[in-house]
Amino acid sequence: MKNPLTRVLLRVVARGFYQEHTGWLSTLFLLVFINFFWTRVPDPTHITHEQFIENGLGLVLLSVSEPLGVAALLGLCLGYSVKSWHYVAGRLKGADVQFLTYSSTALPWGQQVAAWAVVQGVLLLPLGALCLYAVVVGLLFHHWLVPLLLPAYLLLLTVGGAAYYTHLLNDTTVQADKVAGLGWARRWPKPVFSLFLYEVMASKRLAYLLTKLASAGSVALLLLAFPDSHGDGRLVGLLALCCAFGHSVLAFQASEFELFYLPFARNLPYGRGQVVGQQVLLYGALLLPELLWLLAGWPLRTGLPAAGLLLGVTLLLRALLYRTGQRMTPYLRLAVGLFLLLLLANLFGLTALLALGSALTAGALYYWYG
Amino acid sequence: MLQLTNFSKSYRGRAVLRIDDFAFAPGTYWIQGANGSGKSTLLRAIAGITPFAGDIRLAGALSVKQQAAAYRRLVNFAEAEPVFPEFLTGRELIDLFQEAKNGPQGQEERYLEDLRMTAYVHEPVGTYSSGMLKKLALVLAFLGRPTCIVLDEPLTTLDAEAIPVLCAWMVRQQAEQGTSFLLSSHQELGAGALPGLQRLLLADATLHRPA
Repeated sequence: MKNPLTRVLLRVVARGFYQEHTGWLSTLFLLVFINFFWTRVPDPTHITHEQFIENGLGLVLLSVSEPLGVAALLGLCLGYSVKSWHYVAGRLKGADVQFLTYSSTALPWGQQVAAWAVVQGVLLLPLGALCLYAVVVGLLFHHWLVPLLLPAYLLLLTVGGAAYYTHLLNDTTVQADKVAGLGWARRWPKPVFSLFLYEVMASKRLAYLLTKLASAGSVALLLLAFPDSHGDGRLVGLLALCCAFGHSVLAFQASEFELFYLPFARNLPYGRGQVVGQQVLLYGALLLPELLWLLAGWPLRTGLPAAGLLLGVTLLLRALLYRTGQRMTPYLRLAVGLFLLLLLANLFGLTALLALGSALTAGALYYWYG
Repeated sequence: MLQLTNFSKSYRGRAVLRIDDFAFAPGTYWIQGANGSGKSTLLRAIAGITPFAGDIRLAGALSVKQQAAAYRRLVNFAEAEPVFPEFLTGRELIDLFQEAKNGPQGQEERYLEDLRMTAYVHEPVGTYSSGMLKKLALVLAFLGRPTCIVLDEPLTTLDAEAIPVLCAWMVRQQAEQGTSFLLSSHQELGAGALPGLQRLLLADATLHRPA
């Protein structure tokens, strides 16, 4: 990559995007991509080889031939692109990238858009792979229209994103009133524990929404997968675990916010117990919908340990960042390992014990590092 | 006033500061040193916001590690480049610090007037310039009844009118409450603006008193 601007943009934007979204992309890959590439055929012995191939490629063929499938694929591309636009727009507000506003903007508009288009192309690489596969399979099965239009659609999303970023950097007037976004909450009390909640409302609404959607989606999938076990405490524990791990990226962002915006709070005279209490209040508020659902939607005997597990594990995920530092990859590795461990233990019906253990471990980490 | 014992700070296994034993008597100290000599690291450690090995005690009794809350109530800090959540107003931050540091009601008014901040203190800090943020950080550092105020590069980005105001605050605070000051600055402090100012040099990863 010889263009200096492209090289810098890839380092400051694209790398961060993939680091921050490793969790999301892994989930997307596991839930969508694998089935998209090949849908498992349950009993292939009673069908011909051609039928077997067509069934296996059913999802991808649907996405290039049927209106609903096409809409789903285009919608996925658009949703992913909007997410990337949102990320980059937020990233461009960072203090460390302000130099771009007085360096890259001296280049001709076309050159800036071209550099950003490369970056946007890199951000859309997972989609590119998905669409390339759809195009090849579609053409092999003699579907022409959508496979030929898909590259143009992706190109449009890429150039559109690039033009948007260039506009953000060049048009300084669009950012003037952004910070006044929480004017309606001007008179509300803002104790230290609540500051990340306000940050979520001010600039992390999409991340919060996606977290809640992932949380609700995993719950719905599990309830559908085990229709006869709704009274089983282990299932409720599993639901709590899925919700907790669905919030792992939000916990990462909360820690990042604390490190960057709240270093002053470490000079405030709060005892360690107060610091732990602040974290409990923060995550209690972030998880309020799930906690209320677990407590109200299930008998207390199963709902209470599950709610405790949800809160305890989320606090533990946050506390793990004291060990790993603000590094997404080791954090996610640790989180996945912890999830598998807790999942296995939960199968033995140890939900209450796990809730207590997680909360105590989190408390010990807060106490030690807080 | 402050005692550093077996103090050391390392980054990735490399020791950047090592101070075996150093006592600050009450007074005003100007810590000097080249860029990267560890001035900010030392001041942040004294403020209790960065981890280190060893101990720092205030008045021989309060350890920054063992009595952290009590220590922080008496040791205030202003960062070189203060950052606050953009949606908070200056007033909200003042209220937060005043409550946490147990400051008397209305204490901030004089500071706000001196630095002509009353017009914008109700605005979100995201609208502030770097100089306005710096002034806010300085006001926050004077709230409560501190025994020691740590100021990292307090003059950077301040306008010319604000510098003598800050010096006057320091002199008055020391005279009225016996507060000590530790500050770092690459800018020359006005001659005679801070009576009894003692210079310290941070070099070769340790703190030296001038010969």
